[in-house]
Amino acid sequence: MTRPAWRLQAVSALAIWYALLAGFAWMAPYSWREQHREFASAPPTAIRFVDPTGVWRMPFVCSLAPAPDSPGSYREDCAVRHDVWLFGRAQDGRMVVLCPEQPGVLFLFGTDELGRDIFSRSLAGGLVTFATGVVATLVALFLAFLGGSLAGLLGGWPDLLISRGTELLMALPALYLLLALRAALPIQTPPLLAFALAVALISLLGWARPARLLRGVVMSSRGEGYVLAARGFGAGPVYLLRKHIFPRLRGVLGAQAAVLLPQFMLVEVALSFLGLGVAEPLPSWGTMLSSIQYDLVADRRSWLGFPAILLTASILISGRVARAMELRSQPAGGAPRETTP
Amino acid sequence: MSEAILVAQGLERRYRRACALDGVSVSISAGESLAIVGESGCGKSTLLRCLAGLERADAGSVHFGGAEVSPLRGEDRKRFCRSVQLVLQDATRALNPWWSGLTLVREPLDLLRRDLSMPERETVARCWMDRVGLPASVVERLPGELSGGQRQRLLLARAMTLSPSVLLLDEPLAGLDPPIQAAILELLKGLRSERPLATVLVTHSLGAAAQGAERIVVMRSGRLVEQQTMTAFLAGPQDPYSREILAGWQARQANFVKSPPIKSSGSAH
Amino acid sequence: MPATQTSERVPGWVSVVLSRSLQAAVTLGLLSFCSFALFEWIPGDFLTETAASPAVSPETLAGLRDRYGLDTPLGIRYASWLEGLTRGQLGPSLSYHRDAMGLLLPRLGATVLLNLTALLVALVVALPLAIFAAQNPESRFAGWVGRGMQASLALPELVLVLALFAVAQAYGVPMPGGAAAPADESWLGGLYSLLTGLATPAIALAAGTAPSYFGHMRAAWSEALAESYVIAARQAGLPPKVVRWRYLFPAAANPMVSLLGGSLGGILSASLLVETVTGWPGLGPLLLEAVFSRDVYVVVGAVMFAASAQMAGNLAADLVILRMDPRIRS
Repeated sequence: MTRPAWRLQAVSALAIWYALLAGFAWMAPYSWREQHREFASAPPTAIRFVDPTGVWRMPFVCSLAPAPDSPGSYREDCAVRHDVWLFGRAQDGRMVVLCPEQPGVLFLFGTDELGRDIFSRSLAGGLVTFATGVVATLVALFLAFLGGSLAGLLGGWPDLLISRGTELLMALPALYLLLALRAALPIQTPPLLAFALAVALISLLGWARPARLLRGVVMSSRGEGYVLAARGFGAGPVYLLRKHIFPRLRGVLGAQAAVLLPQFMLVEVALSFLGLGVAEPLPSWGTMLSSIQYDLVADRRSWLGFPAILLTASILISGRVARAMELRSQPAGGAPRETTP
Repeated sequence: MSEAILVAQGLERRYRRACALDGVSVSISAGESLAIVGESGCGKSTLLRCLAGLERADAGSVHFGGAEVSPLRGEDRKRFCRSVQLVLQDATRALNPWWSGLTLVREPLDLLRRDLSMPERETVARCWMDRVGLPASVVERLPGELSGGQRQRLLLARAMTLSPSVLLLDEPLAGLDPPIQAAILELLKGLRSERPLATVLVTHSLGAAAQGAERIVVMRSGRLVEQQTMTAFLAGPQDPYSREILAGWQARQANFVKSPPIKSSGSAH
Repeated sequence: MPATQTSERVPGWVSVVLSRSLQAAVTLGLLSFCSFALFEWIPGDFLTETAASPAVSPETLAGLRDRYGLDTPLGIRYASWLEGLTRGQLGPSLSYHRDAMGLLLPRLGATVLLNLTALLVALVVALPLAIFAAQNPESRFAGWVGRGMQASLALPELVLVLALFAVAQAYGVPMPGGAAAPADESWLGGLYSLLTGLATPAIALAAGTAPSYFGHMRAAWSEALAESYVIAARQAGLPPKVVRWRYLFPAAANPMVSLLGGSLGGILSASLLVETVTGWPGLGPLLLEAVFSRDVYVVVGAVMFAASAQMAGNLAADLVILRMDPRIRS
């Protein structure tokens, strides 16, 4: 496959993935905060096609009820069937991806200990994680752009200050630094503030590497022959920045965005997993996975691990995009090569 | 000989340790062709950049048409840029690899000929690309897709769009095959015959200098050691170093006596 | 011959150690001061929650504040912390009521042990595979290994740990902090419980890093194979063993060692997650706990230790490169 085609494919795969995530989150069977206390820790509901008599039917779920003898376990009664509709209308009139006939329930990924549908929460949580990653990437790249181009253009002490600062940041283990910074801030915060804090911390620590990269590009393009040539045509600094230097940064910024997004999403997941990021009841893949630690094996509630699958898929797709974009920091016709006519 | 238009007096330029220019004075008259010869690192390129106003000398001055160059600002500076054009060394690096041929050639017009409309600028650029012998397809190509000779022609076309009166050329033949070198030299000669244009050709090859210039300046570690007309120089240089390089060149010529000296074909490549 | 410069009197590694130590000292100094300033600037401290409790009298509170020096100005507090540092103290842990140094040192040891073990495991697995894959690019096995490594490169460390943790639990592999430790306290029993406890976190950590080592080593080895002096050596008929160890290995090891040095920060961060999930008594869980209880000195100490560990690792990598690569010895 040609390089641009591969890039296009990778980027559109990512776009489709998150569009699906967003679309399904919008049409999720339940709200992310809706609790079904009577169905706490229910396993994933099976969608069936064959009824107990062995007859094939339209997809249906069996009626689910708590087992009277042992709390926490559930019994399916397939004598009572509820049809499942793709893109059906729920009771409140919302369009829903998979809609069980009332009063049936359909927990595709099971429920957590509060009886919240993990499928719906995974989708919403994915959006929270994705949003954190995107906003943090944008902020970090903005900081990197400012810092890198200032250092690269001005040289002298601003360059020294920024270079040493980024070196310092990169000489330290990121997660430790992140936790230390987090320690200085209030632990209990409203969800929105927690989100903002996570974004701020991640981008504050993450801008160093792209900034160094951009500084290098600015510096090298400042010394390029074509910049000197343009000065020979009487070009001023504004023209040089606009026409010759910043366009080169665009490609680098794009590639860096693709590299940083999955990294930052993972940092958000780690932070939330450790209990320092997005807070309950707002879901994030990190907070959802943190409950797994104690429940996964002890209770055999393996369905709590579903967010991990979505997370892995997201990172996988993002990784592909990152690789595709990194190939891009070259002009379309290939770098100028030494050829004889 | 007509009056000098670009005059450098007592130029000195020091980099961290090395002394690139050590009291260089040189003057370029209208319409003449001058070659600056010397080994790598003798200060040729620095001298050229100082003449083009791209680098400021630590001491000494450059005058253009009677006015000192370094304090020029605004419209005066633009007028100077229009008149004195530098064709940089290493065509690969002197062309923005993301730009197409036409945009590259149009760049000086975009900067210095705002009085022309965009279609007019494009017409001028296309005319010059045609004049230096570039095929029409180059208009859309990126520098990376061109041959070395084509890139050099692109640089020439770009400098000529402004119709300068002085063209400074920094090693325009480096890295090119001999037939292409000859063609470029021939092209320069042709350009000079059409209009009043002074060319300053910096090269480390005496052969190219002998072909492309009427007057020669020999430089060694930041100093001028010889200034002569080409015929006088070939007949017998004054300076021992000049004699040395001339003897070296002649010895090589003799060795390759079978292969004819660089002969211009004039054909476009 | 021009006289060799000062290198005759000062060997290269001494100057590297000296300049790096100086850099590290500056970095740590800045880091500690910034931490102090940060905690000073942010409202609230360790006793904020204690103060909220009605059972605590203002007198007790004032006593506590005085004892921990919470009200002294920043400069003085930092100076006395530095002074304590010269005596090997990192300031009092507010929740453990003892000096943070004594608290952190064993934790640092555990983290270093875990990281080194994981590094060793990753290298032992990745390097031979990488060399094999580079030597036999056509082999089907090498192709599958490469694809597998590529795929697992995208696997988030957290997911990896959780999965391994679940598997280990399911098969009854003892966890570091678990109650499954054997009753006998002989050194052999202690070693056994240490090793079994180390297994899960070390493998989880190694599994996260091995794919990237594999990829880089394979690339470096292939590149070395294409070097003209290697081809010349093979052409000259040198035995493959000699070519491998005298020519290829040094050429490929250099980028590998720099990668190791550069990846330390990432490994330490991953280690924090692994430690927290598996309960390995390293710096990570202690730091996390200190973050929640706002135990300032422990937080600062843990970050300083982690930073020192990373910088020491970087220095070690540089020294190894200096020793191996004649090109940069001057």
